[in-house]
Amino acid sequence: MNLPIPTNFPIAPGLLSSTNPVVRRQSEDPKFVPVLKISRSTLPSSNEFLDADSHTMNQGVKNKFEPPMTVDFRAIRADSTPLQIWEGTVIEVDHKASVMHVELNAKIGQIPRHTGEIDLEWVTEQDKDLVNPGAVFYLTLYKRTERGSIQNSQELRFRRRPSWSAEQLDQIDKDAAKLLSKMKALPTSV
Amino acid sequence: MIDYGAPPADNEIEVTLFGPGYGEAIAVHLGEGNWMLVDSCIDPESKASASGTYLEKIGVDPKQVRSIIATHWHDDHVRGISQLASKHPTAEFSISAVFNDREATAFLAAHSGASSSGLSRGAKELFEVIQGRVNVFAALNRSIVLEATLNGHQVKVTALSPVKAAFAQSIARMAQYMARKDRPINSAPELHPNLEAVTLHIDLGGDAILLGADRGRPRYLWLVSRGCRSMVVG
Amino acid sequence: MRTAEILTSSFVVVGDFNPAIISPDWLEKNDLIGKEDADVAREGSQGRPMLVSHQVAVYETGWFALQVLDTQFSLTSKGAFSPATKDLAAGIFQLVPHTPVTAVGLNFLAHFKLESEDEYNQVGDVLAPKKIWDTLYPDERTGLTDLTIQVQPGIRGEPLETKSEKCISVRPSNKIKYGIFLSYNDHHDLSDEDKIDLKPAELVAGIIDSEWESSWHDALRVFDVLLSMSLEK
Repeated sequence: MNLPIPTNFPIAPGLLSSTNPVVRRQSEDPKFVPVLKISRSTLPSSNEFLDADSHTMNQGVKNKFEPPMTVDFRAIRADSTPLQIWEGTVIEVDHKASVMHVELNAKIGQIPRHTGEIDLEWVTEQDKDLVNPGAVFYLTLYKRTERGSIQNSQELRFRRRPSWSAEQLDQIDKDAAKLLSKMKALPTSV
Repeated sequence: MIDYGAPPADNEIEVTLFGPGYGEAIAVHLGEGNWMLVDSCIDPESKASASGTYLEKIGVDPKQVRSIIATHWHDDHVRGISQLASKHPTAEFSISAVFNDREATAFLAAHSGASSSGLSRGAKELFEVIQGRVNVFAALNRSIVLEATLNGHQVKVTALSPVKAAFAQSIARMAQYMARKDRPINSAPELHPNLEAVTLHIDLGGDAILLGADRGRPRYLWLVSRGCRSMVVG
Repeated sequence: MRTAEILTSSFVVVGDFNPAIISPDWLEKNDLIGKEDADVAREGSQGRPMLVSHQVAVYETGWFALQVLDTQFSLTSKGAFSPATKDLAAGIFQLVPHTPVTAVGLNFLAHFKLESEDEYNQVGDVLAPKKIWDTLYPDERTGLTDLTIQVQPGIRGEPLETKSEKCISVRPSNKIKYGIFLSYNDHHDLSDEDKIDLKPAELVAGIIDSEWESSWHDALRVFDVLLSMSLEK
């Protein structure tokens, strides 16, 4: 029997290690509230946004390469679960009021699409240049587990994709011409 | 196990709605075994087009489908439409006349997956249909999509939209998401209100049906008039 | 629907890679990650240094961990589960269209907490009945440590029409007491794909773009049904 090459778990060179907190569950999950307006006044306290890794960025490290070996799947670090994810599109940016008007589509559950306003404070410095009409972003509300404690957190991340290449644009032009050549008008009623 | 039942009788008009929501696909029996399909959705179990499966199960010959219309390009209304079009190669295929335009076809081509990774399933489906056909028909306000004498009545399917006044606005909106040098490859969001969607009026010679998708709420407005009586479903 | 305590997505692609190409500098230059993320990747974190060479590329940021060997690419989400990881994976393959690749796996990994030890044992007993094992080892404890089910399209006994498949695994969680770890692997073999004149790496990008979200929702459905049916009284 020919088995397909597996694509479920990566082979690790041993450099990814795991943390294994035992999660103690809170007595009650905080309720999720649909987002319509996110502004400075609704931001939770700042330390909820710190990523654990940012505390240890500047530790000295020794480069070391070990031969590849089959990794224990448990070595993959993971410490969150989404409560809701919206895919948002920027409709308009009001730099004066420092907000962006957005359309939000929930990715979990059957929640109607809606529009809202998001304070530009929520956009990270590295994403500020991406804030333009038509830009897509993801707003994730998630439950974050760190060293046994659970917190609700939010993250807003803009979509980044490569730019159209000259080759692709050329192909699009050709395809568009071909499509157009097939379009025929229907008769009309008076 | 779904009991699809028997096909409609020759003198029976039948409108069947399919979909996870409010009728993402419709099959209309116009009479005497003549069918029209509007949009498409996929049965999540079989992964086949829901309306295509329905017609197959009730024993409709593929040639009996006279017309397939894609009212607009959004994913939720055209999933499986390329499959449907392949199943019914003799049916006339119509889409919004907004796409009878160089920039609009470029928009479709850019988001279809033919020249980049697929950014819109809907665009991909329409692109594949158009590519695979000799001709595709452009429907706008007052276009006659289908005309026939059935059961002694003049049956006429006319498009009521898009109107020409909406073309420029639709194309201007698509232009925001067209492929350009130095512009990141991004999906095109499904903009609302949908100005390019095709609304259909089916005149059955006495009765009439109005089918509209994505024209605001409800998603499908189905007005069946028998004298003064009418019904709205959606 | 049951909510996992921890949910991760990962992308594993099989092919021939030059790991040296996919560096943080390259990702930043191509606008796939921002400067802050590129800096985090370059500087390394928590004793995990960046390593980029012709044999291996390994680095991480606050939201993803990337590893490229000469025969395998993997990208795993960290922190907030977000479709941004999917965009990054697809974006990388859009930029390396000539890379010879043969398969892509869309993976979802979840840890679920159960209410009690009894529930935890019930799941194991339903999925792996103990009758045979208790007969073999009557005076010892037996338990499930790893169960994998392969799901292939078609009917048993008939020839396979595709090499693409799904694999669902169940294991005890090592992160949560009385927890179950479930993984869902949606494996796509590129020989099954309708090409539309795309290069293999472009096909991978296309699969990631078009299939990831439906795989995600299907994974959640599978996890929910698995646990619900296992826990039925």
